[in-house]
Amino acid sequence: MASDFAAASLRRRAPGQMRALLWSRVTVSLVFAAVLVFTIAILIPLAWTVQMSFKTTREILIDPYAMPSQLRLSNYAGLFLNPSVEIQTYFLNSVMVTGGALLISLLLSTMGGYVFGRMRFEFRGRKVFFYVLLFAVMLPPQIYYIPQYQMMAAMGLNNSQWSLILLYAAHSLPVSVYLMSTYFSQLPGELEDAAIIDGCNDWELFWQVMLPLARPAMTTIIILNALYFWNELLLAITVITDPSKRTLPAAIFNFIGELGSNFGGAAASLVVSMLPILVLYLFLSRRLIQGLTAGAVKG
Amino acid sequence: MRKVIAFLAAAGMTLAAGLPALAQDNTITIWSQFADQQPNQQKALRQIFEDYQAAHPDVKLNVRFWDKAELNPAFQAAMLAGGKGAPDIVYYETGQADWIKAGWVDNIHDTIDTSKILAGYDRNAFRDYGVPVYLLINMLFYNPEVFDKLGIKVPADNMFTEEQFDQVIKTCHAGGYSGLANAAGDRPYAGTYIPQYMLLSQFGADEYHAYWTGSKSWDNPEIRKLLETYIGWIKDGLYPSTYSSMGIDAFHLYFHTLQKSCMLALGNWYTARAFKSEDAGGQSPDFHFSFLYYPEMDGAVDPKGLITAFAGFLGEVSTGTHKDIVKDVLKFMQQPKYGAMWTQVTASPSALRYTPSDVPDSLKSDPEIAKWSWYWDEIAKVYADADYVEEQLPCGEFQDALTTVFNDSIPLGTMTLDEAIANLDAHLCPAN
Amino acid sequence: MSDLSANAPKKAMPRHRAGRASPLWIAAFLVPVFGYYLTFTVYPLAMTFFNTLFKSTPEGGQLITRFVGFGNYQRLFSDGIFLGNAVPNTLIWGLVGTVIDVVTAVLLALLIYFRLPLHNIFRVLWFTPVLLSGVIVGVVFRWVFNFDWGLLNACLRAVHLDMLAVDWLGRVDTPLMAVIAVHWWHSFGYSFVIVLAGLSAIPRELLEAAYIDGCTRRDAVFAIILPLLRPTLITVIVLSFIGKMRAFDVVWALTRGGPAHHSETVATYLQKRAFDPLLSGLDLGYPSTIAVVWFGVVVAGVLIFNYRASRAGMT
Repeated sequence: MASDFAAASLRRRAPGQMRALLWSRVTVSLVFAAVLVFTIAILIPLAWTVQMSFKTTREILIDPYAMPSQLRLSNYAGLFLNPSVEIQTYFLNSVMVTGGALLISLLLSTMGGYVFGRMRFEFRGRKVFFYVLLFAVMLPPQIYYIPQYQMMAAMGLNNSQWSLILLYAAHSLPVSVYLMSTYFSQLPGELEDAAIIDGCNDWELFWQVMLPLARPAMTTIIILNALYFWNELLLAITVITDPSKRTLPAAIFNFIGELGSNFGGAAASLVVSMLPILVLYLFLSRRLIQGLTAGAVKG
Repeated sequence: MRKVIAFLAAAGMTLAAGLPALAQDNTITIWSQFADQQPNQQKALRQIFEDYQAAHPDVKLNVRFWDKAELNPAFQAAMLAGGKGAPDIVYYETGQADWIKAGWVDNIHDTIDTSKILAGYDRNAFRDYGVPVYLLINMLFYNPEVFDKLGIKVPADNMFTEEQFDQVIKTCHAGGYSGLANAAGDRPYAGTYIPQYMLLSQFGADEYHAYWTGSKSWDNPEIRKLLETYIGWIKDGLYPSTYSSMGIDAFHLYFHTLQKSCMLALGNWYTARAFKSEDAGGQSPDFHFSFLYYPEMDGAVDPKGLITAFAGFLGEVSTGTHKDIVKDVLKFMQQPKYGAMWTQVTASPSALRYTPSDVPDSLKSDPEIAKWSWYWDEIAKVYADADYVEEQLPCGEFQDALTTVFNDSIPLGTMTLDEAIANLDAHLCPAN
Repeated sequence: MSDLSANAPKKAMPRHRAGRASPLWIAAFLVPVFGYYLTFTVYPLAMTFFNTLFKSTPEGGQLITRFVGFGNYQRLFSDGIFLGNAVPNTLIWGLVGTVIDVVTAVLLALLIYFRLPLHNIFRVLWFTPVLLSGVIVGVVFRWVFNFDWGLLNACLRAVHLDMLAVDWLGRVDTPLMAVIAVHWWHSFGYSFVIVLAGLSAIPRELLEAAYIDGCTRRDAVFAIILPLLRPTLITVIVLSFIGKMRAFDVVWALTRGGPAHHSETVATYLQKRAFDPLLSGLDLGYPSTIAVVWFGVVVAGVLIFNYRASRAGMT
């Protein structure tokens, strides 16, 4: 479809309005220029950080803006070859934790969304359950870290990736259930009728009818949660103290540490940390918009 | 979508490997400071632990190096969970007195042999609770080349008077330098060195302690005069213009590489960050800085005071299960040869007593160490007649007030003298 | 949050032949979700509420926990840093930051909706800051705000706006502004995406029809789009507000709540009271109290907003 800005309605306007159209073109150009400047400004800090990842810490501290005299890969090498823990380990831990937590989160939030979103599950007090589920999102998260840590310790799970998986999934539930329930509530009401007449029970209904339809919303949840799980820091360093089990944000935090911030290394670990999420996003971005578009978050 | 879910399931299932392994017998876990960017300290400690394991093949010492800012909350969380995940030996500093009061670090009176540790440790509050790792001394560094360039002459006793010091600052400022390189971008103590030393110099150790530990009101004419002098120095250009945004590494570079300041007020752990490869942010071995005493206040009681502290202790954690081995390790660490080794390798003074004969030959001829020998010569030359005063820390709230006032506000001119005094007096420590 | 019943059919519909699900099935779907939630969230939360009634003090080799009833609450209501810095800062941030966030999100989403040239690329680019870890964002922007060589001041000086090149992180009034700006940078993409989704649900035929009738684009925006967008706007406003009430990583890495508590937020103050060796005293009761009280404030804020919004017929 032609851009609205190109005034597809050109054909329908009277010739006398050509001057207005010209003005419209000028406006478009100005707006575009402003947006371009805005976008470049937004991205400069990122570009700068990527540039820093190719410089040594000393070079950075002496002149942060100079283009690197040579494109050193030493920072990246340092990340991957660090004798104490190599970044591949952190990376794998992040993948494990994010994957596991996503699995649990998807399962529970689709089930929850189904219960809260479909008319046929209406029962007295359903709204109460719903709000109880949501209220935890308003609490500053640090405060239940200690009791959660104590729980994990009691279960013998501290220093295992499982602790982060279980806790991350729990943290993501309120928003995910909310999104899924909104989405499910906007699907047509008669959806289940045919299936039930045919003798399906709710379980089959859920797996074979509802879930396939929920793909756009699930995509949304996958990417929003993956983002949160991947970058989460506080819980990751509180609950897991064994370096070989830690996630990527802990590695970054390590470089920006108490003594001797290795800025070059920090910049490199930032770039490495960003790439998977960026790739995931580029891959899924169309689906994401589709998913959101299909009404997952219409309010 | 099915593929995605299958992938996630596979990722989840590989977590079988993530379940925690059982603790092996005779494995001692040690949590220490000195994370990745302090390679010399790590090297020194690893040497000690390797030696121990060589002498005791049935014991495994598993050491993890942390950033202090991470170690403290992690240890606290572990202990609050009843010791699950806590180490057997932990590193802590004087700020962690609460850990001892809470019983998280054991009293190991018999394990600590004060005859092996520098004088004064037997009177230290932490005497029974840990082996001290090194001796912290707060010094005043200066850049002789810049002084020469500006025509500043250092007195014979390496000490400026109040007025001379002010003159030095003005001269530096006029020449485009800042007086000190200190900056508070990411540390809460950068701005506290000068006021502390002004108090010590003017009033002597006892009064200084009374003020600095929040046991005494600051609202009196002598303090006001002192602080007014200090504020005058600040206005004359004591601190760099980037005081609030330079972080600890940046201000090290500011002093030793960019050479934009005349002086630097810091502890002797400066060497941990500066005596390493230049690519990693260290200084050139050819940059021979020197030292001064802090400015002598008018009518000073203790002009040559040097504030020191036994900094960093390794102690036995109360929830450990191999305490006999832990005690053995801590005893092992107190040998003089390790004091010598620590000092040589890290260029910061060990807390252990040793004589030159304790220095291993391999270190004597190590060029990496020899290139810094001028540093020790300078210290010996300048601080030969120093009066060592031990640091005392106040209660938490007052220390926070000190940070708010002296580190965050006064150097930036965002607090008046009256507000500063009011703030300090509002947070005095309850009498113990 | 929307009222679930808003999605219920408003006119009389033919009876669903399928009818209500049996309670057994309701339970089958509800129990796993709720059970998990109760175990891993509600129980720790309950412990937090419980902890507010106690205070722990290290003394004589033990961590002694005493019942203090409402003592922690009393202490909180005379806490200078909390009442004087943390709460006002967080509230200002919540209000000002949310307005800036939502306004930019709507403007940008409209530009994409109206298919600005290269809109596909812009859409992807504007989301990229969201991908970053808050810690890195804080550190990078600490350099951006450096007085001497930071990016911001360098640019200001380059265009001869030297008097604006101030010590952003050192003064009394500017650190909070810096926090708001940096957090906006980090998270505007999130709100943008949500608004864009809401916009995408508006059928273009409506706009086409309006254009035919001679409507200008500006009129169309105000008369058609915004009203239809209201539910999304509510969601975005609430999420944005809540996000700022609890945000931590960015502030901590940027200023740690300093200098001198000038950019202290409830979240950073809570962290300090829980873990900072100077301010915690190994006591969990007091930081739990801060969290509980703040939670009450946030809930109240959201409920009030929802109430006013529904009164104005916006849901």
